[in-house]
Amino acid sequence: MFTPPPEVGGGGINSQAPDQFPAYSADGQYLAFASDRNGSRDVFLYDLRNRRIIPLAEINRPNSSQDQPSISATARYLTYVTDERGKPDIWVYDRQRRAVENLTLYLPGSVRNPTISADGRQIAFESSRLGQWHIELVDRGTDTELDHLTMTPSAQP
Amino acid sequence: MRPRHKIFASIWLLSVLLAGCSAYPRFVGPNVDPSGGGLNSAYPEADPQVGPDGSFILFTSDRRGSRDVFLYDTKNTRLLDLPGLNSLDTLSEHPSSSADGKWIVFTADRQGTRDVYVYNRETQQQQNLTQSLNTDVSNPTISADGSTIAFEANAGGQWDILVYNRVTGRPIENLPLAPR
Repeated sequence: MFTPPPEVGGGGINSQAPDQFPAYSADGQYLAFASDRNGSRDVFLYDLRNRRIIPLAEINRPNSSQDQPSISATARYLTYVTDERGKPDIWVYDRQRRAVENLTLYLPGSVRNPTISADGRQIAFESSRLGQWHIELVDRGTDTELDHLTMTPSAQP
Repeated sequence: MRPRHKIFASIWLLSVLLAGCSAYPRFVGPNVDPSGGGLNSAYPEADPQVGPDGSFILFTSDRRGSRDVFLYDTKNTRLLDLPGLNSLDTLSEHPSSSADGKWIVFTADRQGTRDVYVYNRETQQQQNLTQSLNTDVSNPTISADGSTIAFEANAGGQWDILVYNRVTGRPIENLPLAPR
């Protein structure tokens, strides 16, 4: 079993580096955000109830940036922008299956600002493939295991 | 084109079409609607936020001359009115809503000052959440139950994340921020 290394440089929402793009999970327990605290732009998941950072070592790569996260109801799915392939792509990370999917492998143009529905099936993002920014909708399909609220929504940290 | 190449081209085209029919992820847009009554228009769109089950999308568009916030009903493929949210002298960006769509947070730039506003779709009233905060702000997000709002604030040249209680309009106490 792969054990994620400990997070270095700040165990809270804010650090000595820029911290940006906060996004709630629908259950109110998690806040995803992006930060430069580890030297390059990475995405983070903060557990508001237990007041700790959930490591995302599998998707934060040292030689690329991971930015603009959005999470499903219980933070099972996390969608974000990465320049892993040298251009911006929208990836979805399934924290349960520990698998990533690149949604924009064959999409021309640039992409940014992804957002995922609470159930994890629908994703929207900005795409420049028609020459200016428009909104692209993606249905991840009937096979998508939906993310469900497992408790009454509460955003009280 | 020689016949053999034609066959290969046909097979390739057929496989692409078949893949397009059955395969997920399925891309729905952007289908530009020049009338301005759809999700995408002839003008730039930005900042999408998908509702809990994908039934609605909040976004911004330049279709009315300045950047405004819009709410799109994906099931009935039409825009829903947000009376009083947008105004002529205001650049509105980064909308985010509670799960039921009642509360919408966004940033509005009025005469060069940007603040986080909270709009109530039932009363059609909005309030400035960051009036007393003397910094630039960006990217607000509201919790599904509408109780708390997180956003970026730029104090001293660096973006940090603040979490506010919507009702009191004050920062959440005891949230462990890493030392500065």
